[in-house]
Amino acid sequence: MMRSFLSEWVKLGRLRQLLSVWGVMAGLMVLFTGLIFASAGAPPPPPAACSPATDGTFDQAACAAAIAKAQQSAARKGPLVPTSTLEAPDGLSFGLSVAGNILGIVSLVLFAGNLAGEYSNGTLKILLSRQPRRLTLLTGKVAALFSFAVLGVLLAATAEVVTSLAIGAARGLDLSAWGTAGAIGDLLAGVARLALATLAWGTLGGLLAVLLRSGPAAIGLGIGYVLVGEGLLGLALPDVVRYMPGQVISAFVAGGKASSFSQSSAATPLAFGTAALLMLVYVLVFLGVAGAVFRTRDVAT
Amino acid sequence: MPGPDATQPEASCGTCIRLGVATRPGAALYRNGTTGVVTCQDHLPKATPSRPVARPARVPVQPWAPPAQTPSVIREALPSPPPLPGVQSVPPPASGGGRGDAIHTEGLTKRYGERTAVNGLSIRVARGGVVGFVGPNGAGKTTTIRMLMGLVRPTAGQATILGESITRPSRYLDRVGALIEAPAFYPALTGRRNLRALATLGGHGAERVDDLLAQVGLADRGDHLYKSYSLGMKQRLGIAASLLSDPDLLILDEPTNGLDPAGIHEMRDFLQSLGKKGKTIFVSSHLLSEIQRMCDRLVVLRLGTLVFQGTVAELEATSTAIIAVPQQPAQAGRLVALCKAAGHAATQRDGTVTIQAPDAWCAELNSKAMRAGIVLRELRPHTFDLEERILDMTGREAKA
Ligand SMILES: Nc1ncnc2c1ncn2[C@@H]1O[C@H](COP(=O)(O)OP(=O)(O)OP(=O)(O)O)[C@@H](O)[C@H]1O
Ligand SMILES: [Mg+2]
Repeated sequence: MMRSFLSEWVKLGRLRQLLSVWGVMAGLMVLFTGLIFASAGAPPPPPAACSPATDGTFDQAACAAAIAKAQQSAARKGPLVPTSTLEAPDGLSFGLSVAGNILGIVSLVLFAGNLAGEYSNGTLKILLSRQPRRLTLLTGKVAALFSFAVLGVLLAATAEVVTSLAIGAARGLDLSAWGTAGAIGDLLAGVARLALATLAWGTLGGLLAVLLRSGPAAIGLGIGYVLVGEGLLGLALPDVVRYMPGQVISAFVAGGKASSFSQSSAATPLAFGTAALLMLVYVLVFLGVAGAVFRTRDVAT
Repeated sequence: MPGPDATQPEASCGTCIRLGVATRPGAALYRNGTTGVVTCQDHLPKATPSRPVARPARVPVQPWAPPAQTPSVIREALPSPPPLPGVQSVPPPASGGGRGDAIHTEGLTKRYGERTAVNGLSIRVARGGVVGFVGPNGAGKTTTIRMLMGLVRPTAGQATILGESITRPSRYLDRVGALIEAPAFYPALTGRRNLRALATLGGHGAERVDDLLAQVGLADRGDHLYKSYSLGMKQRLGIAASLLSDPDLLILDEPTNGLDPAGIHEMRDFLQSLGKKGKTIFVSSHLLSEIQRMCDRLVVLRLGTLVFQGTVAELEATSTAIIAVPQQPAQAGRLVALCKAAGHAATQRDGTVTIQAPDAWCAELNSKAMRAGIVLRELRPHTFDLEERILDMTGREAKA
């Protein structure tokens, strides 16, 4: 397993590969965090209909209607994220949960492209002639890709912290809460969740690659499913979709907080414990199916 | 060359001149005037490099003339080779029992849906030496090799490599090196890095990589990207990769593909030297002349079925016939009957009789014919060249 792991690193450890994958991860993180922080602002004042009338009565229906109307017009919707959210202790790790899905997709592409490449380049036959134990080979490769993705996540998290601090300070936010132990703990937990999420996304990509044996097909199907498939499913079966991989991983990355960026706001996200358990199940199923297929299928290309 | 060759038979009238290479039948014609007294045997040894029937292994086979030298008219007039000696000519295993063999398969079969790629293949390749694996496109060579390498699961049958079952490739693959079909590497990695990844995976020393790159002549291109390599360079890298483990058994699927003549030559010398060191090389190729030059044993496939296995010498021994032409074409029928009575299959076409008999039977045939009152205008042994022989076994139409 170690040899397979190291061998994969010989392949991954090229400057261009490092720069492109890690660069994309860190770059996306900077982009998302930057956008959030740059666009943060004070929440809009509540519509007049929502203030209690002078006689103390409160017309709930009128208030709801006013809020709905306000949300119709983009200009009155207010900022993407209220400044107060970012100034809270977990504001430091806010970018992580926002960019989580995007980094997950990078990981999916990384795993799928790499494994499918072994088929399309025809290199699998040579690898298997040096390491005939197929599961050992696959495990070593997945471990290497995972470690590669985790290093990317660490790099991206660093970029997120630097960006948050820089733009937060530049915009004059009150960042005092970020120095607390709770904030640091949130940050570390966020990084850990994100790292595990890249493994989950990656195993999905790996499974598709092993099944389809083609990089473009696996990547296309994977991204299509995550971006479109689950969205459509969410419209039809909102109660089911939250148990689907994309939603489960999103809920896991959000850490039990209702992220304002959860994909389909129609569905209530799962509780963190449920999400974590389901994600583990998905990872095991993806790995199990990929392993079983990889182990038994003829290598005839 | 035609000059001296053509005149020689005339000059030494009354002798049987044989030119050894069958691709020049025109030059080998013997003209004996009218006497018909021929004593082929007496003259054979000094005539040309003779082909002993039981040639010791690994004596270099004489190069054959390019087939192009045979005018097509003559080629068409050639008799068809005698029937095959049969598949059963299995060479005795070098080190007793099937377990010691480099490759041993029994009824190995692979079906892809309706199509049977390999059909009940039973072969035995003893250890040591260079063994050729030939057959036309789609004969099942690559499929067989994939099964031997544990990449493809046989539909039926079994096989052992170096005494270990192919169901457990991890027990033998560290002693086996292979180049399967086209070389395949990561295009965006340098040749050296590609080899390093494989060396790491197989647990071979990194210093081996530099040695191998030098050995295959890529020392100065090792740091270039694989995708920038020429076809022959890719092939060389593939060969280097197959040697990483310093294997006891080397399985090469068309290793000469894309190599330049010098490369092919080097490759042949290299494989033969490995074979002499006791390694087994199982090599497939469509270059039959190369196969004949470098191999001492052959496995021939056709449509997934074994058609011959044995030594090159055995195949050559079956490749001789006697050509006899009676003075009077009408006597051809009687000559055929005479040969058949003597236990040798014979056929006639346009007054030319082809007898399936060792060339040494020339003399006896001659005296028998004389006694029967048949005057022979022409009597000569004919050797089919190996390429023709293999083409005949595997079907010419498949080659076209
Ligand atoms: N993966 C596959 N799926 C379906 N059929 C296959 C597959 N691989 C090989 N075949 C079929 O099996 C037969 C044997 O193919 P194989 O590649 O073993 O031939 P070969 O002797 O190596 O030919 P060549 O000299 O062209 O390399 C062919 O008819 C081929 O179409
Ligand atoms: Mg082939």
